[in-house]
Amino acid sequence: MPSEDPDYQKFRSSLIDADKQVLDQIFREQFGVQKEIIQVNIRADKEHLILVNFCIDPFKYRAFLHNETGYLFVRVEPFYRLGLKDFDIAIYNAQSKVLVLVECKSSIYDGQKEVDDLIETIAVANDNHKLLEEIVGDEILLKEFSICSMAGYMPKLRPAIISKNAPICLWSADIFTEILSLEKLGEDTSAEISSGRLHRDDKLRQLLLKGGKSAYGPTRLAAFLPSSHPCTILEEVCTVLHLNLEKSEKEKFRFSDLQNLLEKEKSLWNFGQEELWNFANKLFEEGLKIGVFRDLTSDVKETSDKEFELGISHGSTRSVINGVNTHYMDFHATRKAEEKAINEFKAQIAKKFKPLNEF
Amino acid sequence: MKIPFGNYTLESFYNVLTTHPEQYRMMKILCFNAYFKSWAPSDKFVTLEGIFRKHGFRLTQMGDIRELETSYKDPETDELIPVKYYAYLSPEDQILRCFTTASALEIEKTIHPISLESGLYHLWISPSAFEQIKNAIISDRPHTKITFFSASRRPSMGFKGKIRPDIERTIMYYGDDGKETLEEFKYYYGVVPRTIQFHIPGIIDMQISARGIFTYMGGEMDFLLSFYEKAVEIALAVRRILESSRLDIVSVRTAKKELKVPYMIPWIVDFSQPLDSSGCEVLIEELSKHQFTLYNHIILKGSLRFDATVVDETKKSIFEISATKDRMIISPRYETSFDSFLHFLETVVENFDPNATCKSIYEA
Repeated sequence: MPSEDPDYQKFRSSLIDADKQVLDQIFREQFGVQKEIIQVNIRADKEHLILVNFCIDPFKYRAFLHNETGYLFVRVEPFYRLGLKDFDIAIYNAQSKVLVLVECKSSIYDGQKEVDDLIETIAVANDNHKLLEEIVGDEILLKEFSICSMAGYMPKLRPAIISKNAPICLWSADIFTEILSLEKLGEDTSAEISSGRLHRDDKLRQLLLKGGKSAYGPTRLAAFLPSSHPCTILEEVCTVLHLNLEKSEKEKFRFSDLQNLLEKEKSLWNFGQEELWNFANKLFEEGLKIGVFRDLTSDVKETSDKEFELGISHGSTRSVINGVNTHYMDFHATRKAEEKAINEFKAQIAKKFKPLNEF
Repeated sequence: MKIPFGNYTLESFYNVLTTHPEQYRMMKILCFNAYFKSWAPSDKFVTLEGIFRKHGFRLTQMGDIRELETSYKDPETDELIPVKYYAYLSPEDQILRCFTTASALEIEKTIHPISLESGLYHLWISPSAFEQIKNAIISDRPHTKITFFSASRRPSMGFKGKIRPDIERTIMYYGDDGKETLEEFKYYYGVVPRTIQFHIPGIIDMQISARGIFTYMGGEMDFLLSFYEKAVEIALAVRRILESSRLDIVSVRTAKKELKVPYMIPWIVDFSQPLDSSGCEVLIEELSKHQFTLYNHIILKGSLRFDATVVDETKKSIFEISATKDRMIISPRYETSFDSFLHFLETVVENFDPNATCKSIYEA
């Protein structure tokens, strides 16, 4: 990938030819490594999405646990507007006025750290009780917090929650047998309820302790989360945008077109207008930066008055998806590889020429 | 095919066919699933009439029947070949029935492309529906003979035959023992029937294809006209399941707010054999050969979990799939309608798992 970064070009042109070749070689190696890192991150993010959807599933409108207990999935990432540590899912019972906030972890290395992080997120929730009430439009009487992870990670999380005496309900997900269950962390049920490690609602607690299974199998309600990998979000959004443009036989679009599309996204339901605007804006910036969107009115200042087009080949949806992926990979892998290449080159030189005092 | 100009109901149209059946030998009845209940409702932007006009058809109203005229250029002679259909759209079952004596090539060149339009899809007869239809004829008329069939097999099909299962093959068989031979070929060569010709002694000769085409080859026209309606009813069972799938926005009231939550009704494909990760790769490849693009996908090995977003490039719709080793759940997302789902199901069944069945979530 030829670089367009002026700092990198400046550094490279300051080198003699032999050193340029060394730098280029490091860059090429790093470019491959960085692409691989991005791919690994995208995959990890998709594993997380599977778990989030798994947790949403029984609480969807008219799904098993919604029908039985009245707990309903309301939205994802309730603190998105704050830009702070966030829970993945908000589930609310409008009768008992209990809100359950769930954090999903698809892999766990250090159970203690995860619990410590979640305790911090609980503090955010407690500090922003009013915001949560605004989201559900109700006076919340009780907040409960859950961490959900694959069944195999329970041994790491169980002792961490107990040792910290954290008010966290532990949900175990077996995505292959499709069973979501609540782990009992102590013998005394009343004490566990009081300390927030078992749900107060009898029916919800009993059903989850028994283990709930979807009536027919897994579904993917959310194709992405606001915090999903930007490449995944751009792929998803650009596909819908492309189909919309094709349908209306248009090439150009405005910022408001993108906002309208996002409003209909299941992943973003019950997001406020300001949140949607922020999300769309961030996405737009990223799209423009990597060249997926092209600004056709650079002389116009107001974003709302600007016109854009897709900066990638858009003959078919397949070419749009490939275009987004290639642009994202190339842009970010190049930037990272340049940074790494300069550092590694400097380190190699430093090794070659020791300072005088080391002789 | 020529029908005198007139003001027809379906019944009076059928009377013309049954009065002089010899004139309509080799007549085909092409059935299409339609989203439309009428030809040109004034409140709709996209109409069935509009679609036919877009494809170069001239339409003449003859009561409930429409005469559809078009032509195509023969690439060898450069000659303009006129092709005519007589069509009836049933508002009850939303099946468009097109009657013609056009050849298979003429059909392919003229009316076949409308199946790609949103809101239209040929009446796909799944292998299990085909089997049901075949068995219904044979049990009703035990002397029925299968005198011709064509059947095919793709290596991507999970269901294996006994002999060289990795070979892609198409078999065309003529012979009075077609009934027995078809079963033998299914077992040994793993083929799935595409067309079957029935000879019911003293009654009728007729052919049925999996693309919802019924051909009259002589005998009692009445028999074909009542039989194909039963076949349509059997094939429609799949569409009814797919039509039950939807995505609604539901308002849920709290003290100070009206929350909008999704109410999603997906549908299910039950696999006949367990799906594994290599099977997923084959499925992705087959889907992509048939104008589906899968992205944002992930395959988790072990026991299997496979999630993806799917774009139907022909119907311009998007849906989500989520599969375990036994079944796949298909959830609507953007502009999904039954025809896109039919296209998807047909692709999965005909290229991957011929014994897969579809279900609504209420049957799960």
